[in-house]
Amino acid sequence: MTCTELIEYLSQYIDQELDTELEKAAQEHLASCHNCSIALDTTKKTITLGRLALAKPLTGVKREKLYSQLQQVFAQQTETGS
Amino acid sequence: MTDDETLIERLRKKDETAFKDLFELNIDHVYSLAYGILQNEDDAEETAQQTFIAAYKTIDRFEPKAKLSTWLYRITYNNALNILNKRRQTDPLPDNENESIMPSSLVDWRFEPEQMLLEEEIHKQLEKAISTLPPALRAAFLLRDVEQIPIHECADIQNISETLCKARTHRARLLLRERLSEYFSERN
Ligand SMILES: [Zn+2]
Repeated sequence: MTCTELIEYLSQYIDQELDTELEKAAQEHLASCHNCSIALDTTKKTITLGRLALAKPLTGVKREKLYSQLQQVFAQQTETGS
Repeated sequence: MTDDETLIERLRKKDETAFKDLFELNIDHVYSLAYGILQNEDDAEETAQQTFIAAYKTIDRFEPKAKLSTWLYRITYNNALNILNKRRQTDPLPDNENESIMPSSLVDWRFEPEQMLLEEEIHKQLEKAISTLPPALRAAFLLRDVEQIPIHECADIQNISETLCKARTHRARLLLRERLSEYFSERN
């Protein structure tokens, strides 16, 4: 497996979607290629960073305000019967 | 009955507490996806509002083949894209769909993500990195890796094939990795 191929399969490798043969070829390449090992490690870390830090909950006053706006809309809908 | 089925039945009876439950269970995910795509708090709030109004109005037409959360994500995704399309006329987003995804910056980051996130600067760099991706790639990464939704549901939400969904997620991961790596290599 070449570096280009390894990078092409990187997400499938991380998601454990490669068939046994390709997975083995990828492992062999990674064992002997420093750059691709770093690419793998840092891509996994990127995913973890995203999971841990990119979710953006709606909190506090904004959350309450949005819900009360929605309640008003729903109340109007029920009144007009539409 | 599943939790979804019970909630849907209550929603169809226009039970007010049911909408409160739908809101509380989903608002963070709806808002998070909208914000991720639009990168703007006001637009994300507007999208979230439109999404819950649409859900309220169309719950009778909801087919329980999909999960309720998937359905809400799909409405959110479409609403966010509509806002994005409106905005594009005046503020065209850079189109870097052809950017190479071959890693070029290959430094060891040394630290584990949990440690890295103790630094406020890393949060900023992450926000900055995701804001530079094309919206379609941002959406794919947010759904798959931030919200951790299974691939078939991600594809369903974006109304694209699983193959395209995987390809977009892959590009997004590598481009984000590259942006962050550039930051770390400058710092080292
Ligand atoms: Zn290699």
